[in-house]
Amino acid sequence: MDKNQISKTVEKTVENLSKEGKTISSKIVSEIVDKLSGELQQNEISKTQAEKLSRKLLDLLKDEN
Amino acid sequence: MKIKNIDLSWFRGASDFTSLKLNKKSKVLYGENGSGKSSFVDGMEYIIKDGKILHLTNEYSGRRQEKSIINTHMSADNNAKVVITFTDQSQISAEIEPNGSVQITPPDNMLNKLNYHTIILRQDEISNFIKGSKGDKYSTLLPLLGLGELEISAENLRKLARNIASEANLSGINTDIKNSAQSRNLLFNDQTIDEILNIAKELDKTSDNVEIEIDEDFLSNLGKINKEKINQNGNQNAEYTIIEKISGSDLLQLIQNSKESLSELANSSESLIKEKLDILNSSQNFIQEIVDKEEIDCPACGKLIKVSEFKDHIYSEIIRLEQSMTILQTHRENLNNLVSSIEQLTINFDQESLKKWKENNDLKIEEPFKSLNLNELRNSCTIDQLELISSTFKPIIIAAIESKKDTPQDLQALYDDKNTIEGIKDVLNNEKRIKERDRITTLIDFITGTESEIRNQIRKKSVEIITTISSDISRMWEILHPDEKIEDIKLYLPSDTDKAIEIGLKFYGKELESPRLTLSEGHRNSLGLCIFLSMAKNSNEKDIPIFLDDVIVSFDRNHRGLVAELLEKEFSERQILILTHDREWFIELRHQLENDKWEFETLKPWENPEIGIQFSKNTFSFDDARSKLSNDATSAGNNCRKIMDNCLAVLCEKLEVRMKYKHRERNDVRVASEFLLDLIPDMEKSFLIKESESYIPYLDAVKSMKQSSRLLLSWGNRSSHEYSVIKVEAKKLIDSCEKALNFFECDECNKSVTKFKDTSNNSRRCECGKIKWK
Repeated sequence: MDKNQISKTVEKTVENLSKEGKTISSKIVSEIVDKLSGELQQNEISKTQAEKLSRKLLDLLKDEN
Repeated sequence: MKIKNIDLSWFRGASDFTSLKLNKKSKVLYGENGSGKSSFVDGMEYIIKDGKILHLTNEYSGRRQEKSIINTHMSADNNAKVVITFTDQSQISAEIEPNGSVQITPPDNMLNKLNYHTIILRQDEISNFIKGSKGDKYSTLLPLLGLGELEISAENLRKLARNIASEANLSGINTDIKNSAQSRNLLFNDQTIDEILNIAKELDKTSDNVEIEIDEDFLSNLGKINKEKINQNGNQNAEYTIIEKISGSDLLQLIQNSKESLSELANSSESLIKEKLDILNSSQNFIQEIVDKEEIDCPACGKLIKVSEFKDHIYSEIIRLEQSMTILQTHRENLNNLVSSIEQLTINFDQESLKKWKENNDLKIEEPFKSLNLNELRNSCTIDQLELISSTFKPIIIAAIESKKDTPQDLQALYDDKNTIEGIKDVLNNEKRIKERDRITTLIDFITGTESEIRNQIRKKSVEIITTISSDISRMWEILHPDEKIEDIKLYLPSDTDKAIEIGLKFYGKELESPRLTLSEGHRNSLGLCIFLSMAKNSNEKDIPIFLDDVIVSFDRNHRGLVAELLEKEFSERQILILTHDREWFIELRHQLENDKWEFETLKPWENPEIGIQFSKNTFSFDDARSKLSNDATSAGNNCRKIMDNCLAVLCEKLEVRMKYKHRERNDVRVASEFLLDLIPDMEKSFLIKESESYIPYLDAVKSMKQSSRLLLSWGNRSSHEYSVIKVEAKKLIDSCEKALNFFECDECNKSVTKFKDTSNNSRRCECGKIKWK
């Protein structure tokens, strides 16, 4: 999947969420697009990688607040 | 691009240098078991997999498989090598040091980008594939469908969503929200947030606060003023202050919460959850390191499990245990809160100022409660212990609530204000908690929604590709199994699970969900071959040769014979390397496959590591028999007779020699002497050689075949039945038979007399026309 396809897939999810009245920050969207273009589609991530990325996304969530 | 050579040095069965020359053509390579033919396929796999060979992975092969990849007799100053040369002269090589460390040149090459399963097929892989679960088939086929990256992405998102929930302590937040909502309900019934905030404004008697914002600071300040007032009064009314605290204890609610969570925990009936989860989480990290093992013991349940299933198993076990873990965590939180409440209540109860109140109400904290270890209660608590706590403290709390009524009115008003202020604080905090929970949930929904979108794509694309591939599988099956009542072979995605692929078919008109239900081993393997070849045909790597290593072992003679037709029909432009230890099939293929596209080679039996793999000069494989001369002349003679059985069967079939009909299957098990009985008379009148411009009977060939026939009748049969042939006799038998068969191959164009068929005069001839059969 190239970055363009990934962006489309992710945008579709954002649209579906907005139909339920939910919004997600652009920083988080862009982080997921970046990660899906790289490490998330290459190999299964380890628990440590998953924890690191989770923390990063939760930090972005706090920043947004 | 086609392969020109595969060169091996000290790699697997090869010694200093062995070269398999493909010369742009497809090749059938015959060699008996252990002759070294698979070493060439291993060489390809080694480069495709960047220095690994799946079937050599075992506890003895060494960290880098050096003990099984390198020839045991390679000297320390040598390196093992694999060099693949393509028709454009480009090369990809692997140089392996004695310790197994490998240098692949170029490191980023066209082969290591390939999917092994669309290039190489070995016999055990076919049967494993068909025998595997639908989850196994999904894991094997998805990368071949070009959807491996999507599956990895979806799987990683699933893992990430789970991790976010755990990292953010979502279950803890939800418990707090639930508890806070219960308290709010007790204090404020169903009042709205604005109505509750207005209560706070009414409590503020210090200023005209119509426009003031009710926030944490405001409430803290209000609490401080209230506390000061209570302290002023409280010094005079110490007993009431403590009674107020006891009466406001949430202990009874906490006992109820603990009972509920204990009951949920009992229903989940799982022990050592955390310990198992620790193991499973470590296993997840361990999975990253598992590359080439076939089976492993599950660290949670000890069950022997395939690696492909292991990953799914770990995942489902973690999900299941994490659900149990959430229940356990909630229960432990409840117990912690309960114990803290008991401790606070006990401190208040022991206050000196309550002495008279306790005496008047006959209240005591006594055995057996006093023997309870509160620290142990934080981890686990029985229903009896909860009842004991309840029976100990309930009378105290009820008495406190009752006595509270006697509290002086102004002091009671201050206590009520205090409770209200703390309640409003909690309501505000809970609003924040709910917002935080909603943000985290939205993030998780976003991640799982993206996973779901990707899974939809996988499903949609899988259905498209599978439909195309299924039509190829069905067509190939038809070639191998004409007129058989097994039809509509197709791959399909079962609707009940998102990570599975199965094979469906119609068996005598009845739809079946899996070939494992009815098909024989031979049919299942034949189906596996069709699936693999369909994948190879539909893959993006159409230029790369296909390697088929002993794939027809379980096929019977009739179906095996149709594989050549399948390859010619479906893969006429593709380079193919067939490796076989089946001499009869090798001989059949020599006659069946087009010589301008195919070459045939045989390997000599492997002797020792220093000699390594050796190619034979002839293609009749008499070297198998010759290799046995020195140690076992009888076996050599017997082997020679078997070679003649096979060769003459195919030759007579191609030359359409009329044989006497025998009863049923006996027609298929004729021996050399029976063929010769009819072949020799036909040779005398039909086998011709060109001399000057005309054809004359090929008398040398007839004479040679008669000689072989005589020797076969005497020494060949003695080898089979009396075991008394000596080395000189066996050698003469082998040489004679080889010479007789060689007459059927032209010494000028090297092609068989069966090569071309002229239907106008019902004759056959070699390519140059020097020899002819009419």
